[in-house]
Amino acid sequence: MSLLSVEDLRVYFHTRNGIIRAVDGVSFELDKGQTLGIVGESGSGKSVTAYSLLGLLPMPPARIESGRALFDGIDLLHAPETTLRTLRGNRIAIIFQDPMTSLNPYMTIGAQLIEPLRIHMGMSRGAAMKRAIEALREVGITEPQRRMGCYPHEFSGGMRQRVMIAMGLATEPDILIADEPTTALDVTIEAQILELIRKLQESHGIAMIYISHDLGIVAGIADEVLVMQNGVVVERGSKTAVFHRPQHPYTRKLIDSIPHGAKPVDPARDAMPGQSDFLRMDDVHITYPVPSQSLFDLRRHEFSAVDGVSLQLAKGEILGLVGESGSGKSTLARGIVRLVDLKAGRIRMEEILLSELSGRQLNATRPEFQMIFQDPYASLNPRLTVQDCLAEALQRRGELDRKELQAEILALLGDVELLPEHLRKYPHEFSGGQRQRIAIARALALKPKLMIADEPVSALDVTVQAQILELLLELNRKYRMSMIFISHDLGVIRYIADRTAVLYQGRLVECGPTEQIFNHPEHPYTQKLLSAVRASRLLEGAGTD
Amino acid sequence: MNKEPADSTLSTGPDPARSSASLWKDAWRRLSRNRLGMLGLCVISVMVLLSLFTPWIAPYSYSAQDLDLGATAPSAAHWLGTDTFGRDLLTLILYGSRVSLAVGFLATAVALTIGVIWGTVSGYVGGRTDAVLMRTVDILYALPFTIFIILLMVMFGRNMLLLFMAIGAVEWLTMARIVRGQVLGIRRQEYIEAVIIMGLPRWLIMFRHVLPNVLGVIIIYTTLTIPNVILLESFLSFLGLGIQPPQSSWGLLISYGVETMEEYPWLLFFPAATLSLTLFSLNFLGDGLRDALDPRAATD
Repeated sequence: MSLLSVEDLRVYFHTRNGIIRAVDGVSFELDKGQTLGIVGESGSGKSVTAYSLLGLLPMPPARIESGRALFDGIDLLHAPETTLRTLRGNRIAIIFQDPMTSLNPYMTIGAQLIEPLRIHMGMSRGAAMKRAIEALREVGITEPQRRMGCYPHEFSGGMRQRVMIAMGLATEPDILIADEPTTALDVTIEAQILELIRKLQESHGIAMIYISHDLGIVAGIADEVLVMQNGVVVERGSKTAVFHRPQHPYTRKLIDSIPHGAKPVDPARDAMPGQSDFLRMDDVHITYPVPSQSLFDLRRHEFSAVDGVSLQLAKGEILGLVGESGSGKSTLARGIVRLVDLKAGRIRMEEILLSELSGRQLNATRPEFQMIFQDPYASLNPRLTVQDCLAEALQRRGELDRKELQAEILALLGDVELLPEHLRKYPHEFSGGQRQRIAIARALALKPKLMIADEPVSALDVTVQAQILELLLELNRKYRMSMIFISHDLGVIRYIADRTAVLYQGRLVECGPTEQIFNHPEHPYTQKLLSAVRASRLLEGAGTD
Repeated sequence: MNKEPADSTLSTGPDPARSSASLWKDAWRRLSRNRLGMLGLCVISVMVLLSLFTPWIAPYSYSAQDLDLGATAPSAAHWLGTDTFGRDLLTLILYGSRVSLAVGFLATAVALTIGVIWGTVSGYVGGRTDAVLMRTVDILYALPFTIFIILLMVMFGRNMLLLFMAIGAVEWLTMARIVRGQVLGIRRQEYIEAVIIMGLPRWLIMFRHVLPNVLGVIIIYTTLTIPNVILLESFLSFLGLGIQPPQSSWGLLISYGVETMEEYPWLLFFPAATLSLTLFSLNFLGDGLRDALDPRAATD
């Protein structure tokens, strides 16, 4: 008999706008020591499936309509809360996506680790301490004894996720549910955490449900894969079968949407080598003030976010900027568009010295360089309709009469493939991908010569991500607009960028044609970055052949 | 969610035949669908109309006393009873509404205007400007209110205009602080950075992009300020700055009612009930306005 067997699970959300079938007839079985991967885009019901097993869904609006989930003779879906409480964190543990918010900032790491041990296992303080220290050592945290007394803010994201894993594993659970445990982490950290999870699972013989939007990662770690779409399992099979011989069109689309392969070289651009310095950055330094540690420490402390970066960009070229969090890539972008001031160095675009502009002159030049932000949920004013938003941007270029304005707006909508009936709507009425299209249209309205895209697709689902990348490439060809494309996702960079620059701790470590960087990385950091990506996921799927 | 190839499916499907696009028109459309909000608006409007036409509709003159009658319970001749001087309570409440509503709305408007502008500029511009503006607020906060009022009286004498000024002068401080706090949060939002990059002038960003997103808090605080101000007036009148009998205001009537509560409870009940009704209506209207001005809170 299997450890956990779920049959015909249906979870509906009863909202004011009607019933949403979040999970609609999902069945699976999980054996001891096995890993089940659940893949799907946002809203596919993958997390709801897992949460319903632990009684963690908000009810109402959620309601379990039917189904059984047998675990050790107990039906998890209909068990009373008291029974679930003894199972949660004890025999079934969960690791959440965001290690930044899943630890209590006011409790020491030690206190948070000991709590479940004392409650669930009835351990004495001393024994719990010992077990917790052991668990921390197991997840690779050095000096575990001393770290027990630390608070979460003293830990980095990767270390916090290790603590979460230690917490999940300390009680020796039968099942571990991992809900996108590496999504918020850098690739090199991600590779370490995945390796750790795999090793611990093997040595403890724990069954795992691994939830992710990233098919590559799931295919790397799971034995069996469920592909979910709109609450339904559309495909189920061993990882090799799902990844290399996908049966369902949606699975195929998911695999095809993962950016892979190299960008074709544009012969027209190579023919014009003389234009290589459309944008020129010379020895750019950007610092942030750091609050001093004590009241009597009157020196000004500064943190150097960008430390002497020099880069060039040709007209019509797309430069990829890669780096992990804290590498200074976003700060550099904000420096170029003058949201932050440079500490030293110069930025010149054609004949204009961007870094020297100020006041009225700066405002007059701003339309020449525009930016697309990462989070399309935050980058649109919630109180302006699409019409008002685009009209405002267009009016910035000069007064237009009603007719001209409307014609320009419709042209913009066409460029980003939105429909005229979208004009009267507010941002919250759109999906993430559509919002990003609106944001792109707003930036385009100013006819910029330089577009800076700061992680424009990392908040989007893979299939939407592919559409937005396609759109950006299309616009780049159409308007011969130079672009700086920032991303932590190497696959995306390889797909879109002509040249790639790698940043590490505020310094430029390597820069060159994208294919050269990917095939023959010279700097050890670039090599480490690339091998981390290759280690944690299957990159070459069925889509490549 | 359904992600179609063209990505054209909407997360929600509102009325496609929507005719207006501006925030204010949309807001009015949404408000008119909010029953409690409309009820609040109606009650407030009726009160304002009644206070405007008081001299024509009040059953008695506000100065008409009948000392022999004294305090009587509600009756056919005096619907809400009379006070200890034999004055008709309904008449007093009606005349009182003129003072109270005027003070409530005007003083709040003064506080609102100064506070919102002060807070927005301070929060948005930041740096040295912020420091100067906020320290000014701190200093004014530190002035003892009673002494400030007495100083004003000594210097200018009794005056209705002074009343608005005095109340406005204290109420805007809190408003400025609240607005500044909100603006600080909004200023960091990406949609503000996006319009900065667009090169829009500062004042346009402040009043078109920042302020509308602070409106919810401003409205809530305003609806809390109005009843506050109405009661503050009675305190100032007690100090001698506001109005004096035989003129009346709700604040005066209530404080008088409290004194005689044990013998003549209706003298407290009716003025207090009127004030409460106003307060409830304002809160309902405020809630309705906040929801109406937030496109995300669409009830349809």
